[in-house]
Amino acid sequence: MSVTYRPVKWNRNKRIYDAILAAGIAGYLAVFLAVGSLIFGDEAIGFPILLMRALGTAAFVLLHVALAIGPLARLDRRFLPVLYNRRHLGVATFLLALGHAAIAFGYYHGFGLINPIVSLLTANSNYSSLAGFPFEILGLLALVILFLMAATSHDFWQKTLGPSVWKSLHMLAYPAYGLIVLHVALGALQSETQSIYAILLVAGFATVAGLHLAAGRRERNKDRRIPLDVAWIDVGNADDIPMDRAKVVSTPAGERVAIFRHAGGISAVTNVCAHQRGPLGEGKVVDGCISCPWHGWEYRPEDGCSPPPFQERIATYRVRLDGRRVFLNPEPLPPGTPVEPARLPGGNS
Amino acid sequence: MNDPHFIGWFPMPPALRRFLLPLALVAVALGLILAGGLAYSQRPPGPGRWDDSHEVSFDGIAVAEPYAMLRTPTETILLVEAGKFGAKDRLLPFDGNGVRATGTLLERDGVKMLELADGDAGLQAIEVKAESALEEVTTPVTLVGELVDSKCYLGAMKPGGGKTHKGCAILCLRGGIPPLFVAKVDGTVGYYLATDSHGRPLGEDHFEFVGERVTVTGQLVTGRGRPILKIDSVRRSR
Repeated sequence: MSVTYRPVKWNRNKRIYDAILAAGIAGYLAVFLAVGSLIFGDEAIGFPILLMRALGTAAFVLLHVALAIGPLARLDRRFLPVLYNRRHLGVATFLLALGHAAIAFGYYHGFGLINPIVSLLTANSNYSSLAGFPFEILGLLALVILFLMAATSHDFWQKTLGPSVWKSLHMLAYPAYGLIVLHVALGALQSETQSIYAILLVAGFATVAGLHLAAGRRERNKDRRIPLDVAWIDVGNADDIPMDRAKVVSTPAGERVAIFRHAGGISAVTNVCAHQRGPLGEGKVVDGCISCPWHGWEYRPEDGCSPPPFQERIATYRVRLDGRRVFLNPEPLPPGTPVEPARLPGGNS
Repeated sequence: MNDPHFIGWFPMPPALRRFLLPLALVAVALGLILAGGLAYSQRPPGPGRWDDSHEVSFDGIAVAEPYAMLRTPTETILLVEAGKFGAKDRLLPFDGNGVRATGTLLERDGVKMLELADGDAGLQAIEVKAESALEEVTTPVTLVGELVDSKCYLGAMKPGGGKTHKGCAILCLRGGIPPLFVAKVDGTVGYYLATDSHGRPLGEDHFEFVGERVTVTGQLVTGRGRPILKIDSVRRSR
């Protein structure tokens, strides 16, 4: 968290993350170029095309990783640190894709009779044929999406656009992924003869889809159906909530609420972080503040406010106790509304 | 700590570090293996070559139609300009006459092409012996293969064919680069200069089939230099 905007708020974890990312990308490109240069001897693939392929496949692999991190972190919270700096991974994906596109654009559509942009858009207009489909357009659309995502991968844009618009924009990663799958299937796969490319494409898609389905199923199971006319929701026994952790319940309106057990008692806040809509209920109370599991944004459990000098606020909820049984009023209170924590009989141990 | 919680600006809890660091190393190693596998599995680009560091010269008869070429006593050499442009405009003043063509050589499976040197050095009028009369033989054929732009396919790009090259190939053909129809016949790769059914340069209606596997029906004209395939019809193959 910060009250000022800086290009990158570096810390040790981000540096380690980026070092591993950079080493991985450099290693991938080096191996691809080395093997691709040596494998055919005198009949080697032209270097610009080899580099274009190295960059394109690297971007595609990274996009798989970026899309897999979210559901992995939902399935196993030990992956949450990988999510923390995902925006750097996304920007790296865009830069690799941009390099791929720049070579393809200049090499395939330059040096000719017409403007390269005109050539790109008009060389092949065979939209009615699957085999002949102008797959370049699909890649171009995906690149535009990746650019918009990379350009707005900063808290300044998140604040400026608002969480909902920003999140919607970044959910375009999925259409972008679909466009790239088609770009590869209708492009490279039509030229290459080895079935390994089709197998890997299907395996990659199945992995991304499978992880999302698994995470989605798990999330759905959390959402217990609550009748609409319930004034107070029975959350369960307070002892079932681990100390400094939360239990997440869904209200009849479909909102998720995180009910934390902490030193002050039992408090309830919305499960949605004001930063990137991270799941606060999977966070932890650290030094008296709820810490979001995604990027560490903090809120006081008793009023949903970030500690000074920060100004973020989230909705709070009323809770009451019947013995050690916790009940939640499903009506959200305005963000930042103080609510006295429900005190457990005999202390909070 | 039994319940580790990661906060970015604090040191990573040891339990998480012990879990993630080996995973990161395995992920990077898998990435390297994947890179090697993907690079290794690429389709061979073919034996095309372009020695663009040395200029060579050939003497022969200039032929501007349907495409710019030089007919020597022993072979036909396609002629192109730098970039994605044919050389017909430059060759027209010499059409039917002796010429020395100088440029850099592209070659694949014995099919030759010159990218002409700039200026007057590219084409110089010379005296050559008139061609002896050669009899053309026309044979109806149906061939399965790929329509390519000759310059890239012969060595300017590697690979210079296939779907991924389609956009480039269309740009080349629009610029006047001669199209070749490449087909394997009886185990041998044949390279045929492709024209329309009247022997004129191919037009836009054929360009949509470039870079794809197609079946062509037409007339194969042999006996006088590079075989010419006059295309009557073309359709996509399975």
